[in-house]
Amino acid sequence: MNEPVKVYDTQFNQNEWTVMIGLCVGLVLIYLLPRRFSRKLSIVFFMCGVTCGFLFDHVISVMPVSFYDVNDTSQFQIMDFISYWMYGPISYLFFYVYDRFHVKPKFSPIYILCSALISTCCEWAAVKIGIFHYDHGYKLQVSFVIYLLVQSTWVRFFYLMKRADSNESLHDGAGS
Amino acid sequence: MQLALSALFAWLAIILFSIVPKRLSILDLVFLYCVIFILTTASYTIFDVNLRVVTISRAPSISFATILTRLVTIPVLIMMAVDALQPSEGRQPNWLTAIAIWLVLTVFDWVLDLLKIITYRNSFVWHALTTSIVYLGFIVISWGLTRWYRSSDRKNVQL
Repeated sequence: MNEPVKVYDTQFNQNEWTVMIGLCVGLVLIYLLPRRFSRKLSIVFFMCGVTCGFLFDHVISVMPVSFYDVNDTSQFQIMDFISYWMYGPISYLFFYVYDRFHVKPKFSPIYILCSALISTCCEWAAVKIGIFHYDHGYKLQVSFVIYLLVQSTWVRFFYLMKRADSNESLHDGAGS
Repeated sequence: MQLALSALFAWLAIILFSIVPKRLSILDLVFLYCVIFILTTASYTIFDVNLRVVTISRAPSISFATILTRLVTIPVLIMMAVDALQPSEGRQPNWLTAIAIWLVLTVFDWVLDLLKIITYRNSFVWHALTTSIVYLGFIVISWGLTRWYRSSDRKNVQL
């Protein structure tokens, strides 16, 4: 049985502008930062965030009940699709800073905690602006736990992808 | 029952994926999974929530069965089809494998309806046709994006 459509807003206003500006700022930042990874690895680090956004917002948060809606309605809109691309610069910057400051594995939990706190603050602002609309008892503290878990897997993912990239570079070097 | 069967299908897809020799590298496969996952998830949401051409039960066990299907079975099968289509080290694209996987995906969607994991709203023929077109679209788009990704430069800059 499909749930009735919920409408929170019908105007192109602050939530849409925040998404557009946030995405543009993120992309410009990625472009301006000195390159640290191969292009293929950079794309994977960017796509990691977008995929996690889709994973939680369209699969886990939707079933069995919809814990939150994104932007103006409970239906999927073009602005929702654009808003998930905002997670791309976030994940890229997570990996970039982790690599830039050569965070040692024993300090990873501190890095993850700081990053999860920043992410939770960003989400709090997004809720206030009207990008997220919580439902069925969902709270910001649940998101904090999810950020801790997701970013912990990101650290493991970082090492796996770096190793895969090094192996690929070696293979390419041997082949040429 | 649906959840157990869905888990079995997902595991069979993983076994098949592990056994089959791959033409793509690990980075290529991770990128491919991300692309397929985004494409399929966005499309399923549009079909379910916006267009309402299929109905997905919100019962917990069926929901988890759907999650398993969306997370594992369908992306892994599409990855195998796209992998077979990539030319690698002198090997030509394996069209036969890709077409076979495309047909399996279409039949699998019908099996999901039989198992009541998803429920078709329109006639079987309409769904069979649209499903086959949609899966073909997924394979073609992800094949194109993978070709672009593989042609990306491989310069490493260390600071």
